[in-house]
Amino acid sequence: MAILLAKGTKEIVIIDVADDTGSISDISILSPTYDFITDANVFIYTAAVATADGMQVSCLLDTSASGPSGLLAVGHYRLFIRFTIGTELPRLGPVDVFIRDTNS
Amino acid sequence: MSVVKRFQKIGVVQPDPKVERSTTTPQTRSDEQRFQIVNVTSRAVGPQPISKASDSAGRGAVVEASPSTGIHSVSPLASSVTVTSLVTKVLADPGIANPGWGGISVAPLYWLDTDHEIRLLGSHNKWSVFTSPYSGRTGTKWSIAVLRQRKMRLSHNGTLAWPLNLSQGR
Repeated sequence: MAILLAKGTKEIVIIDVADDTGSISDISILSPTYDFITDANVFIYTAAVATADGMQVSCLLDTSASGPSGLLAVGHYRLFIRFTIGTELPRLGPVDVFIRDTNS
Repeated sequence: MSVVKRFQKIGVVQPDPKVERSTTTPQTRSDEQRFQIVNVTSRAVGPQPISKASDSAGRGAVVEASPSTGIHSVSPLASSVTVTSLVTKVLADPGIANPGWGGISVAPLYWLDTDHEIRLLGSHNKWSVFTSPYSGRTGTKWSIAVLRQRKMRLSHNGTLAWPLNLSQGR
């Protein structure tokens, strides 16, 4: 799974999750969080609180100057989501996120 | 008859002791996991850069790009400006009652869904294209959001006095 973001954008990345057992239908009550990491393993977002609607998890990625690490450089990043189910803590990903500069 | 002998009799394949078994832990495949990511999409909540602009005659228009804000000023003011963007869909400002219209009360901007034409009404020295809705907007700001691989056509008729400062970002 990959997604392309323009440099300087601020977007919500929506991740659809499936539960093979069908026993989970709402992740919003499972404390979903997300990590957004560079290739050099620098965490842009660490366990940031995600929102969820049913099995859709929404992660806000601010790559602009107002973001947590300022204007992000073009390149490859990784996005992980996780949530808590009892003693389980599934971490799903990575979702490959590519930031590109569309002005050059 | 024992259970083992019964299965042997009906042809159940028994493990061949001569076959070497792998001692490594099998790598977990994603399709074996209980939870899987099945789809990823994005929804613009902030400015997105516009890559290129030209006027109605195909002449290149000046695009003052601001990667940090995603706000692009298109100048000089031409009779129409075509903006080729990496984004494809224009989203109405969520604060607008009439979907498809940008602008709050004066509705200076409208969007024709069929041909993806955006028509700006007003007279300005400069257009700025906000490529997404953004929070904290005021009633005099407008914004559009676009997705990838379509063309937008920006044009104006220059007849309305439109007191918006479109160069303003957030």
